[in-house]
Amino acid sequence: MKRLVVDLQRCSGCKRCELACALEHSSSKEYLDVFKSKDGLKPRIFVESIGDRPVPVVCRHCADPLCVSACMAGCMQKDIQSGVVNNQGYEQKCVGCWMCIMACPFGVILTSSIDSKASDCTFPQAIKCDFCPNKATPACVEACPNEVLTVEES
Amino acid sequence: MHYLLIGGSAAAVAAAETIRGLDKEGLITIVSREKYYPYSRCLISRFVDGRISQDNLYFKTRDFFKRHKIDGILSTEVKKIDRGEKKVILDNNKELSYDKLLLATGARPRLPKIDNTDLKGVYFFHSLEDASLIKEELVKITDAVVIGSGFVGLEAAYALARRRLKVTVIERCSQVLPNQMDTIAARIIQQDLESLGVEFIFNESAIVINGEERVSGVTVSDQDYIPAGLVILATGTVVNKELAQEAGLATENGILVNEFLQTSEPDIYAAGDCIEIQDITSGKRVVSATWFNAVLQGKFAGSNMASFSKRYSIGVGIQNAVQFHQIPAISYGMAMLDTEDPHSDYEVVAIEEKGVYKKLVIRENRLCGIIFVGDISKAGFYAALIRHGVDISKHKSKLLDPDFSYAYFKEYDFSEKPPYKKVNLCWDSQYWWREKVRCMGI
Amino acid sequence: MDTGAYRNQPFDELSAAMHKVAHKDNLDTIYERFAKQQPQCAFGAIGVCCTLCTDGPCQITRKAKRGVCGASSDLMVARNLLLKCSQGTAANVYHARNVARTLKAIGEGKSDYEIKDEQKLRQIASLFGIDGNAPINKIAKDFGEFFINQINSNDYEPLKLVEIVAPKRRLEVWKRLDIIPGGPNSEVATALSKAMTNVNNDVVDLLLHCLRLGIANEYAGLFGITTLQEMIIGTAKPNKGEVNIGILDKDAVNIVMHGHQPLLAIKVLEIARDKKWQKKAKETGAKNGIKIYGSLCEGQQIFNIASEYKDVFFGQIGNWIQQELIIATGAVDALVFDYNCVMPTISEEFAPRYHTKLISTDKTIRQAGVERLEFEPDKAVWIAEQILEKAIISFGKRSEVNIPAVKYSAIAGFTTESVVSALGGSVDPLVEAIKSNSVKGICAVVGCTTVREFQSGRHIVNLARELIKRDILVIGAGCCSSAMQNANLMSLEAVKESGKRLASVCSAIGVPPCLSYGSCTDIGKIINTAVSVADALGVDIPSLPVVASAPEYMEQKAVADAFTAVAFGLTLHLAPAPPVLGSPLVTKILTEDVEALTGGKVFVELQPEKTAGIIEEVINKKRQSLGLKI
Repeated sequence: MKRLVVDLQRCSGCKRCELACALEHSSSKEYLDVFKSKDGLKPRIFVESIGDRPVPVVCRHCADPLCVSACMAGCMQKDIQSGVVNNQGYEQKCVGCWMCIMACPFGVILTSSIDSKASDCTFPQAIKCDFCPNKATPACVEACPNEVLTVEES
Repeated sequence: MHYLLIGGSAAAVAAAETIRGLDKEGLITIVSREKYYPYSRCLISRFVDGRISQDNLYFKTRDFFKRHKIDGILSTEVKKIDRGEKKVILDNNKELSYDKLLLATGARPRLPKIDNTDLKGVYFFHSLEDASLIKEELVKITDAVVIGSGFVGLEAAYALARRRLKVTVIERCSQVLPNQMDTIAARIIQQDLESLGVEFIFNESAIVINGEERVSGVTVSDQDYIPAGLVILATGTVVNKELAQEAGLATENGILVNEFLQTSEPDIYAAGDCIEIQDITSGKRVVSATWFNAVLQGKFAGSNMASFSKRYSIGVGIQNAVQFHQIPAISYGMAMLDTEDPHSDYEVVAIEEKGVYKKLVIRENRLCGIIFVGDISKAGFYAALIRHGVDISKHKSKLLDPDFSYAYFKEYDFSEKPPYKKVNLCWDSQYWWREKVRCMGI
Repeated sequence: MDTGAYRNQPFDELSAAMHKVAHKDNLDTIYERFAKQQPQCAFGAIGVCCTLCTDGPCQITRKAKRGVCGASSDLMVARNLLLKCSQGTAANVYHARNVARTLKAIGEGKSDYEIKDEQKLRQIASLFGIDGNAPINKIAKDFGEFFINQINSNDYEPLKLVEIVAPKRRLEVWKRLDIIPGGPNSEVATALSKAMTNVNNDVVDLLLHCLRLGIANEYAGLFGITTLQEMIIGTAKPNKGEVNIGILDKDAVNIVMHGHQPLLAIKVLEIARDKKWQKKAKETGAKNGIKIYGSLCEGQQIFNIASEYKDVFFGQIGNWIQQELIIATGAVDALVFDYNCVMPTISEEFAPRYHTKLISTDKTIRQAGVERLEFEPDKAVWIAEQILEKAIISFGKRSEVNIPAVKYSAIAGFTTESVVSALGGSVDPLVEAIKSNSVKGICAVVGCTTVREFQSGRHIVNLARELIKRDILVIGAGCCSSAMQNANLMSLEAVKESGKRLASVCSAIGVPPCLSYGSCTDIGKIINTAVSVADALGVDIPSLPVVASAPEYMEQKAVADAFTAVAFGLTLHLAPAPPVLGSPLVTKILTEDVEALTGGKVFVELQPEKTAGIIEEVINKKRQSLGLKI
């Protein structure tokens, strides 16, 4: 089972993790393209704050995920091997009903928008941390300059 | 151990999966009245307007029953429960015995007291059956009327509007979604649908359906005639509690269960839209609704049935997440209160600007309801604050600030292992400005 | 950590009321913008972020101990500090040069002004070899020219301004350290070159250069501004006025003069007195005629000399943080700003939403779409008339007006001369009071206001209260003055909040326990007073029981002023922490080692009560070494 561990006091609030995550999940991976696109930057890791203290808020890939229970399309699932919770890559497709956003107590799932000129079959997707399936190390962990994020295997 | 689950939707399937995870050997049987493999009822509107195919409606893969060794009996109804003998009698007169029984019979659409609802072209919007028939017919239709502007009614209206029908929605109350949203949020959602050409008639209950064999139109208030080739009845649901009633189980508006989801008969459990739950935000008992509640109840019931005791204590009645056309909206908990409502011990905080409406209802320093329209980010976090009854008195003025988030409650794990390592005292103190360098370990 | 306190909001109730109005009108103020910026990057906050070249931007992190060019954290911090100090020095010198140009224009007969304080001009000019008995216009022309030449001189020629005016003991110290500056603009140019990528990596040299700039900042900047302005518009005299947002009058044409350069504002006041303008205003419906207010440091400087303008000047409206909130009243008909501390949202969001007419009067302060009436000494009258005209027209465009109903008053107008005069002609009474411990010491509470650490005036006001409780006389300048005025600490009633001994001294002389010296440029006058007291006691400045504090410093002029204070040997309190903590070396130099060089040093403390305690300790130590009882 994989999950992220956060060493809170090392965090500087520089938000390079957010940037790297957003770029990794964009189609062009070019900063300017993503910045100018309709949705802008949509990271799946959030550097929130308490006053001025930075606090990274991450998806925990919960043992009993509420988003999985709430999903009406059956697309949000927890992988049996890796433990990663994700709504992409399964037979069932996300229809943008936003039940998972209502369910997640950490607030780490976001909406994305539909391009209204697209064909009728496109649904706005719910987006969340997928633990970067195409990379050996998640983009946020790689990008952090101060060793705040680590991957824990258990 | 034989587990028998009546119903083939969210609650039953969740229970079955949970039981199988805990009991590798027991027999699990699902009996469903419908002829379809378990599908997501909530998605049928997207099927009607063609955005998804029937295959996309199944929320579990087609090998689900096989994979989990579940005996799935479709197109079969349970006629009677014999509590004494611990068996049920099916409509083909076959009998099935059980050790533990789950009632997940859900609800059926309510037939309104309107004449001529038996004409051709008049449908409910409840099952895949309804949806398939509607989908076939609407290619020949130009005008439709939807009676009722609850969730189901608006989903139907949206689906038909997407298929370029001229849709008129007739509603008894003065706003859309009268049981889910307040007047301001309802107005925003109404405008979202009106931008597609949907028309609304409010405060109307005198409706007559016209036609000979087939529906031709609808007359409202004995004067206005609206031509329609299709009429959708979306006037609420009725709990399928007859089986329970006849078996002598305790029911009121729904089947009554304890915190382990047991009915008045210990070996009979119930979950989903057919039961009543204690809504922690209003303190009242309501009939359970929403897919999310059904799944959770199914899981808890299944766990209890497999002898792993789990208390189901946090039920919330109103939970809605929706995006019809452009505007997402979420309402959760006790959020119906209008700002003029004279409930003096409730505080309402609301902002409305630039197409975003957010409302929080607070009582005794605890959040008890939210409505977010336009911007639904972090709605689940606020919902968790409601569910867990978290004391937000210290943050009252900050609740709707853009930087208010889960971070302020990072000591609460909300039943999930927290990812944060222990921090030095200096991080938490007022001298962080001085200790930053040491904390960061540069 | 008290998470409940973390909501950034205005400190005084009038600002809080206007904040609600702005919020209702869907406008983001500085408070919302600050919240949206959180969390801010700690690398930048501790000074180890460098964005100078395309191989960056670099930070010093656990992974990277040096920037790409090879810069260490010490070098990054020192470089960044030098850049900010350069900006601040350049800004003050710009202001001084404008005043010198006006002085020169007066001498050439090409201006709308005259010399108000001939005596001062003759006396100061003669220090620099100009004949003090010549006709006054010639002196004005020559001295103005001299000052401008000083500003433009080269950095390898020590400033005459420093060599002649600075106290002898200080000059010795600076000579020993080789930090007597040359022409300030040239010093700044050299500093900018030093702070470039891969030029200078001697941290001590960079910091010494900051000290040079600090000295130049004082003599070519602050001294020039204050002294030359006094020659043109007169010297500060104690007078009572009203303060804070509530002073606006819904039945008058309200003109707010905002910024740092008061020369034009004085002309506006003089012209506004004319019956014809008051009549015009009344005809448009403003039954109380035209009223002019000051805002920010410009207002403080007008406030200082306002005893002659009581018929048209109606008070000091506020400080930097409050500027958006002032516009949100809907009652400001014209905001005339020049130079420094004007938020871009004034022209981009607030003025369009409320009806306020904006006019910029200096070529550095341009904002897109704002009318420019840029000051020239001989166009002052014409510009003033334009301003009045446009303000009256703007009065007709008002819609909803929300003016809080509370008013406070304060006394301003203190400077070395007026303090001396209040004391009966010499500093001796003050010196005696210090010697006898009736006044334990003096603390200058100066500088900006900031929203960082959620202060917005809290630290300033609470610190001042704690200090006067401990019988320490407070001198305020800059936005700190406004904060204290808004909290009623600069009125005679404030003696009730001070310690008994200070209270009796103040009541006897008839001054508040917190003296308003005025604007941030009037820090030069505070240095002047310190020098006078030092001379009277026969010691150098570091020995005085005098401490400086910038409890909410924000911008670059404050960094330059901080180095001025350290160069003069003052112990300086700073909050929030300057971006130096990323370099333990620079931190140590500024907080410890520099004391052995100039006698001055810096300490940081964010809690007002603790700050007051440390200040009291420092003052007591200094008293002890002077042989005074504690």
